[in-house]
Amino acid sequence: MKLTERECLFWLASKTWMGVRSFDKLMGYFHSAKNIYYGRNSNYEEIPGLSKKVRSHLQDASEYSEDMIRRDMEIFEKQGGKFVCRVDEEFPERLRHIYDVPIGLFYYGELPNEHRPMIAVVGARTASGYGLEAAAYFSKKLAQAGIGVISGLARGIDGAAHQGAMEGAGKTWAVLGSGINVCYPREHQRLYEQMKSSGGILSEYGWNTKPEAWHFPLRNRLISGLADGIFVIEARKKSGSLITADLGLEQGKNIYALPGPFQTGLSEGCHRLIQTGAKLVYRPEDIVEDYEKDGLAGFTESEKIKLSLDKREYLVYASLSLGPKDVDTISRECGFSVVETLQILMNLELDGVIQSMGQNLYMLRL
Amino acid sequence: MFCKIYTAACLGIEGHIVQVEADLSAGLPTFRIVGEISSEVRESGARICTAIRNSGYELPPKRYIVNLSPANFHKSGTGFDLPIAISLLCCIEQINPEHLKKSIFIGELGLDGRLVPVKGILSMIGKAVEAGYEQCYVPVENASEAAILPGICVFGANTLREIIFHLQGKLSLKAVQRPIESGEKQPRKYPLDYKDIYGQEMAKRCIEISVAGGHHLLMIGPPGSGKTMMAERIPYILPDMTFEEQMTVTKIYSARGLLKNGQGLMKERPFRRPHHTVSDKVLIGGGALPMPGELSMAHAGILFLDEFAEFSRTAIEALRQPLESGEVYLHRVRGDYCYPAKPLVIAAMNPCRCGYYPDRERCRCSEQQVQGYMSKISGPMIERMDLCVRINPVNYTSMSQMPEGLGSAEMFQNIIKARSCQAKRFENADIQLNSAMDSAMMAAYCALDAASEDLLKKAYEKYHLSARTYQKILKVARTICDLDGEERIGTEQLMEALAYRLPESAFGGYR
Repeated sequence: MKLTERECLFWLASKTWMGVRSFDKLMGYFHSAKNIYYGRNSNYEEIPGLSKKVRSHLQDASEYSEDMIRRDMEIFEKQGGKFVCRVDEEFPERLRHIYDVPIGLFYYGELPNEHRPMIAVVGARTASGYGLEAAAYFSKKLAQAGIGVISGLARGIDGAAHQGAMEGAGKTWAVLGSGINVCYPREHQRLYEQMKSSGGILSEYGWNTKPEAWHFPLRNRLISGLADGIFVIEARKKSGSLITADLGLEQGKNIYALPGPFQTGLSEGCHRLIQTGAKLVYRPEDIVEDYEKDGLAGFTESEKIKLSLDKREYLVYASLSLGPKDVDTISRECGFSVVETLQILMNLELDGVIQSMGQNLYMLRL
Repeated sequence: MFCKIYTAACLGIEGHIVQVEADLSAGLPTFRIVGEISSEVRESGARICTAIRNSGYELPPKRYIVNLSPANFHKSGTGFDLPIAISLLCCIEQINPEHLKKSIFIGELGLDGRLVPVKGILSMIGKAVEAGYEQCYVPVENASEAAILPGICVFGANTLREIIFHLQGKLSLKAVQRPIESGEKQPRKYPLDYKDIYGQEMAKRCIEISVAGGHHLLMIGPPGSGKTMMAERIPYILPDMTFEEQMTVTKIYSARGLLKNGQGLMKERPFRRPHHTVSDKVLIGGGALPMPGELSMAHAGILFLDEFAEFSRTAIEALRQPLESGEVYLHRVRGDYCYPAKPLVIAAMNPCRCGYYPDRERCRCSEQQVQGYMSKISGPMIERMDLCVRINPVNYTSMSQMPEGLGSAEMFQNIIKARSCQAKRFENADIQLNSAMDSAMMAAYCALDAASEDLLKKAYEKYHLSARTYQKILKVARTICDLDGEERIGTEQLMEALAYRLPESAFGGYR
């Protein structure tokens, strides 16, 4: 039995040597994936610009047979993986309009709902406490407002964003730079497992593909493509998140940026974005209000934590910020002895309004 | 002609009495030493014969047999030269052995008959006093060490000839006097003072608690923040050693041969700071005939482990058991050795490889790298550290504006106060410090009221404490009470003790 069009697309999408550009050139000549598979002995000379590498892979008959392709697809589906390609109706509408539309998407979980607003939360891998706390807080609030959060499962901001969205009982998606069965970085294994059931894991790379450095800038176009807005948190001057923001701009998305403390370089990229026209975000409403007309249930005013602190506790609480602060500085600023300060801090920490970063450094908890 | 002379040997820091039996008989001229001896003792024959000749006596060419008894333990070291020489001189009837039944001879000989100092004198003399010997003859350099203990008359000599003349009655050696303790105490001096360190009040408080209750301390901080400065000032705020402690420490140093010539009892608590490249053998002790390691050398004092995370894993892990039991056991073919090892451990390390975490401006280590760095120290080792404190870098402007903080003199006063509280509490127990309390004592001295009980329960659940951390927190709280002059542990002390624990979040990933 001959392969179906979908099976042929699965085969092509799985191959790392097959890029989107080459695929488009081949499609321009063959008009369908089926023809590409069964017309392998054609004269490729007629296709201008097709690389030698792709040509030699196509001509190497030992690399695949009909049975092998069917078996690969079967294994993939048995493992819970799903595949959607350009010919499918479910293929995300948002991705049809970007530059370099992917051949297909491999995914776990579900695809983002076309009608649900989506925000990409991106930022530094080595983020400060301020950035991590903000990423989790904003993602949680966005999720509660019914907005989907999309990011890249990377360390730092990405991970905190996914985490925050799940804390807000919302949906969150990760676009990987590797095969969907390869969790990178390894320490996000738990997050990765949880996300399969509260959103999804997406990738344009086939089963078992390793995370190569050059995959990541490419997958950024999918993150921005799937989102309606890009929210950048703690991007340094030359941050990869700025690439995502640039791609988003080309794709006509809204760009949001969180300002940071001015002295540090950690948010320099964000500040530049704001200068060049990105929307300054300092509360979740700033993002949510842009999507309310899209049938969003509106945003419930963020409930203020009712703190019942006595005067001394309030003084200590007020001297803390979202950055680490050491006990000696706090005690000097508040005028308490170290011992007193420690007691107050412990009390506040046990009440869950502040958190210790270890080593006697404290910060606020949002 | 047969005769018997007494000497002592030192195994580890244990002294043993050894009898030197010498016999002279007719036959082919030979010289043999027997009795489970090491090579340096076997070689001593040549040294002894020459030394005797150079002291003006001739050994007739006969058959000499020397036996070191009891023969059931291995005898090493050079201290047997002198007793063997004396026993030979008795055999050739130059000295009358009748008066030497209560005498101990220890010392090495040079070829010219000069006496050379030996290691482990204090342990040997200690044993001799116990066994009822009344005189001892040692090299003059060892004399003040030997004279520490009352009940024995110590003669220090420069040469073999001096001792022979003394025993023959031609010359009278003067007995070494025990140094008399001067009644008035020298005022304590602080060459390095905590006053010089600004803005580290929390760390100072932590050190105060650590020293007062004998709680091991871990300091974490970026490079240049003053961790070493903090540690270097500790020796000056340590309380004086008791006589027993001084004895033990002196014995250990004597066994290692680290006492200076003519030095008596060690009065100052040791401060050891081994380099982070040391092996486990150096740290806890080792060798075919095991010598005490850094851990024992720091007994009753401070063991400062700078760059804690850079120590080899085996070295750090080897510390675990001795820190728990207060003793190091070293098992060898020729016997088991046990050295006391109860130092206060002060460790210092960076929070990550680059040293600046969680300052994201400077630290680009991933959370995983931070965890990797911290996990170089195993959980069980971390659990043995009772206190953990962050040392923060202080910038210049704030330094000049800061008020002068706690100074060493004040800290010392507080520590003395807390120590005397503990002395009273443990009057009838065999421990001195809160950190050594067992669970029965904890039940008696760390009882909590209802409010504190609630607080601790809340903290236990929130921070996922282990049973061991729970106990540590109580012991630290007890010491805080002693410092504050409180009778019972209250919520304040408990809260402070909780703040000094090493939270999981120090291992990165506080989010």
